[in-house]
This record gives sequence, structure tokens and C-alpha cells, in this order.
Amino acid sequence: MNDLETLVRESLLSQAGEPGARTLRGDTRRQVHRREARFAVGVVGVVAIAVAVAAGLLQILPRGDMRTSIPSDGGFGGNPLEAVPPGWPAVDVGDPQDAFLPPPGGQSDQIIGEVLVLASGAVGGAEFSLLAWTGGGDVANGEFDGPCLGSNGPFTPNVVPPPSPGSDFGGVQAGTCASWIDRPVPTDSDLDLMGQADGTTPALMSNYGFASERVARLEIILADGSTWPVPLLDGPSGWGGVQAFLFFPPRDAEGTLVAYDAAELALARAALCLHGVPSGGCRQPTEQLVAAAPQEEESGAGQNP
Amino acid sequence: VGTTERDLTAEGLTGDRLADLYARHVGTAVGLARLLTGDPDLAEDLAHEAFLRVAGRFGHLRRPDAFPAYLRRVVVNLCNARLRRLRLERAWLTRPRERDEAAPPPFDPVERDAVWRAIELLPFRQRAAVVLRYYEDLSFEGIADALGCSTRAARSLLTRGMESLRETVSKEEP
Repeated sequence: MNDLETLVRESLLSQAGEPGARTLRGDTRRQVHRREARFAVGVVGVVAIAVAVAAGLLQILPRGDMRTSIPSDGGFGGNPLEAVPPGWPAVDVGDPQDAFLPPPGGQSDQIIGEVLVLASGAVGGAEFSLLAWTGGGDVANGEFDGPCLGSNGPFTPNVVPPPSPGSDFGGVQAGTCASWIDRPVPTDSDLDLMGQADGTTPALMSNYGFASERVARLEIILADGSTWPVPLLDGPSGWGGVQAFLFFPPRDAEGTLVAYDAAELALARAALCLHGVPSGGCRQPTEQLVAAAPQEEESGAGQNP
Repeated sequence: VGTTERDLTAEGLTGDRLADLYARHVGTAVGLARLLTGDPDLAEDLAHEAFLRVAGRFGHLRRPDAFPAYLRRVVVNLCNARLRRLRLERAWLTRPRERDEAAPPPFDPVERDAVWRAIELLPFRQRAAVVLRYYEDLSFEGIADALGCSTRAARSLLTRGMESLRETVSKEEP
């Protein structure tokens, strides 16, 4: 140690004085307890703020199990239909005004109310439109009755001549109604899954259909066990709460569509429609897992067994 | 045999345990504060306040057995904050005065030898590094922990402080 260090040490010891043992000031215990309480309150406050911030973030972040419902009259910005599983054809939802509509006189006159465009856009470069309307005809005579959907559009970017959006169906034209099956939605079933393909677009197939009012969410369970939510679309007012859905699996995407109610009870399921034929439609049998909800004119008792 | 800090963690700070902790550590904290501020009365208050702060969160300390180190760091921070505030107050009070009028010293130490006067002239962090090294006998790691800086920065502060002291003291020598 050099001289300066010694001088510094001696000077500091001299100035600091004798530390000595200190005794508690009179109110030290009370002051310490007050600080403890203040610190505990501060910790609780910080935790509460953190919890509140986390809860706020959860509210604004998208959740996989959240029911997604698209207004049928617009609001297509950031459309949930555009969220597709990895590897599936990209979906680009556009302006409903550009949808492929039925040609004048080309649709039955038993339609109640207007024809709504539920979604219109392009998938994998092929254009599509999903229309919804309410039929008022006699189903026994093959006429529209109840909730009906139309999957319209060329379904291919290579159609010649190109279709005219807003005035013509273009290529594939397919329409179906919920009442046209043995177990219609919602009286006998909670789910009805259909598909439509065009031989000129072999890579994909539209899967669309009906879900009953009590269906809170739809989920695709793929063969590898992964799951993916399917948005629910509000139908026209004449549908009585029946909802629609639409997605475009790739040709080889095997899986099952499952419908759940608000209590996460699996109501019904159906296998996805695959591109098994060069062209045409598919309508999968629904496996109803619980009893369908009774309608108002019936007893109305016990919706679930 | 005094109660150790580890013993204290088991049952918290109650009764004589608090008094024992106070008796063993506050005296040294007062000495440290006195060297950092040069004001004995202020040092008593700052050391007491530092004890209250650390003891008030004793049950939440990550390393309760390091109570002296926590206390030392709080003392340094309190002294630094107090001196900074004094400098601000002094600057505000002397603002209308003539430039050539010397500002009064912040404190009035009783006896100052040449070394002590030189220590008082050091910037706070250099002064703290010198005090922690030669009064508290801390290593560079301990100085860094008390000042909240890296070991390299602590070494640099001490080196520069000692160089300044050497220069100042040599100038005052006849």
C-alpha cells in the first residue's frame, strides 16, 4: 500500500468516526412495519396492473377458439376466411359487389327476400362467390325451401371466355338447400357439409354448408391431428339463425369438420369433401353426435340428452 | 452471538431481531453516509432511512443474508440523490448572485485535512469508489455492486479518483 492509500484510509477513518452500536429509534418498529405494508401494497398493485394488462391483451388478440361471424352485408377487410392452415390455397376475399350473381331469370322465383353475397374473392388464383338466400317453394317438387347456398364462379383462372363479374355465374354453378337432404339443418342435424369442384382446378375443392344456430364454432381436425377454426357466416334473416361456412382444402387434405356448441359439446361431424372426381359435387353424410335441437313448434324441452 | 441475517429470514423482522440488525449495521452505514455527504447529522438521517427501506422489504429480498450489501447500496443512492438535490437547490439560490461570489459549502465539516478536502472535491461516484474501497474495504466487485455499475467501471472510477487525489494533494504540499 503506498503512502497516499494510507493517508486516504486514515483520513476516512478519522472523518467517519467510531461506528459504534446503534439502538433503535423510538418509532423504528412502527416505521418498518409501515414500510412493509406499503411495499406489500405496491407489489399487489403492480401484480394487479400486470394482470389487467394481460387480460386486455387477451381481449384484443385473436383466439383460435373464438367464434367468428362475418356480417353478410360487408365488413370484408381482414376477413377470417383468409386465415387458412399452412399449405392450403391462399384465400383473398374481395368486394361483394364483384360477386358472380345469378343471370336474370336464371334463378327460381320462390326466393324469399334478397340473395346475399356471403363471400366473394379468389382462392389459389381461381375466383369464387358464395351466395345465400331463403327458398319459399315446395321441396317435394324440387323447389327451393328454407336456407339455400350457391357456390358460384368459374373456379378457375383459365375459363374462356372470362366470366363477367356481377352478371353471370361463369363456370361452376351449384346450389343446394338445407332441406334437400334426409336430415335437414336444423330440424334433424346441426351440420351439413357439401363440396364442389371443377375439373379445371384439380388442386382444390370448395367445402361449404350449413350449421345450426346452436353451433358456436366449427373446427377442422386434420389427419395429422392438427386443428383449424372455420369461421361461421351469418345467413339472411329468413334462415332463422342457421349459419353458413366455407373453406377450400387442398386436394389431399383429409380431415373432419366438427361442430361444437357454446359449452364445447361436440354436436356433429362430417368428413371433408375431397377432390375425388374430375368435376362435380359432394355431400357428406353427417354424424350427429347428440340429438338435434327441437324446434319451437315442438315441446321445446331438453335440447341435449 | 448475534442473530444472523439467515436466521432472521425464517421468522421475519420482529422484536429483538430488528434491534439486533439495527445495532450491527446502522453504525457502519452512518459512517459511510458521513464520508459521502460530509454532514454528520444528515448521515444519521440517511442511514436510518436506508435501514427502513431495506428492512421494510426484508421478507422480499432475494438474498436476505446480503442485508449489509443492500443497505450499503441504498445508502450510496440516498447520499447521491441528496447531494444532487443540494446542488440543484444551491444553483437555484445562487442564481441571482454575482458570478464571483463563491457558493457556500454544502456542509461544514469540523476538521479537514488536505486529503479529506481533496476527497470532498471529487465527483460523487469517484468519491464513493474511494470511500467504499478504503473505508468499507470492498473489492472491485463489491464497489461495482454498491454503485450499480460494472467491475471495469468501478476500477476506472477508483483509479481516476486516486489520480485526482494525488494531484490535488501534491499541489497543496509546500
